Amino acid sequence: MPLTIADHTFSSRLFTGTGKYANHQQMIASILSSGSEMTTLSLRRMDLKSGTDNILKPLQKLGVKLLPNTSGARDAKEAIYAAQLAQEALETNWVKVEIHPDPRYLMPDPIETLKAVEELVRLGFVVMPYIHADPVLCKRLEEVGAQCVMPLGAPIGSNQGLASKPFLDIIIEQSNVPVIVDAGIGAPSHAAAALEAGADAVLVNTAMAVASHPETMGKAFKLAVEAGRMAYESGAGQVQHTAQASSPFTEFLKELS
Amino acid sequence: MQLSVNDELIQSEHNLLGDLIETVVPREQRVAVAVNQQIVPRSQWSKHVLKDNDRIDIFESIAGG
Repeated sequence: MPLTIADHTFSSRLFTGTGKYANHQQMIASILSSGSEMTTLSLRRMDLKSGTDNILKPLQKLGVKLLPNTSGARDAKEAIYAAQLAQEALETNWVKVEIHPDPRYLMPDPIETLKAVEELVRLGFVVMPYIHADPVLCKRLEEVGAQCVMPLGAPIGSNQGLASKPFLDIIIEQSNVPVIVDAGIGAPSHAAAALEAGADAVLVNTAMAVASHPETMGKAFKLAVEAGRMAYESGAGQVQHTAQASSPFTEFLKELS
Repeated sequence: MQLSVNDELIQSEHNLLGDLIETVVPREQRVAVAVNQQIVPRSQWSKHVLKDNDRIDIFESIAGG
């Protein structure tokens, strides 16, 4: 079954970011091989002296949906301003809200995020909030109209994987909107584990961008996400504390003794 | 008149925002523009009259996760 967010249906459950690539060529090759249909961008004030870095052109050629983020915003007011600027620059009402006032761990501010999401929904945005893996906050965001929730696996860019797994499990169990695990996914196996656990999608940036071969890593993530989802839809067996024999015990062993 | 464009002070002969944008932004570049922190939609650029000491901020898309 494909993934639907707001009015948009995605056949790929892998969302990507455009940060940290060595060059545009590697970024495009990696996103293309990953099969990703939506990728994130940031906004900044143009540097009038050094000229512009026209990232849009190659991405538009690729035909992926663009998801602006509010990175750099320190509170709800700044995030709303960033979302409105992005709407103007990119002609989209989709926005990934991320508000992290602390540059060391980039932990999202839950209070400002909730405020920003409520207002942006009121203004007609499709809002995708990046948040801590907090099940209560996820329900609150759902109540104010977030079209999905994006809980972190681990700090942004840390490659630590699903450090928040027990809480992601609760979020996945309770959520009525898509759950997209964002941040911390450092290897395809982490992405597969998230999808196996029932996450609707993952967002991967650093792990693909900083790989020695970003194009090949994009493919590896594509396969991992597909495998994880397939496993989830197949209905994985329960974890047991004791051994459960895979072969039946037969009587002939007794006869030998 | 004096304008601040992305924190740079410039002397401008342009009275209209659209004319200023044309001189500082490459034509194909998609940007968002705010004057005194109020976003001015692209459709209004050619009509928006600038005043002395206006602060203009021009934003572009960059890579990000």
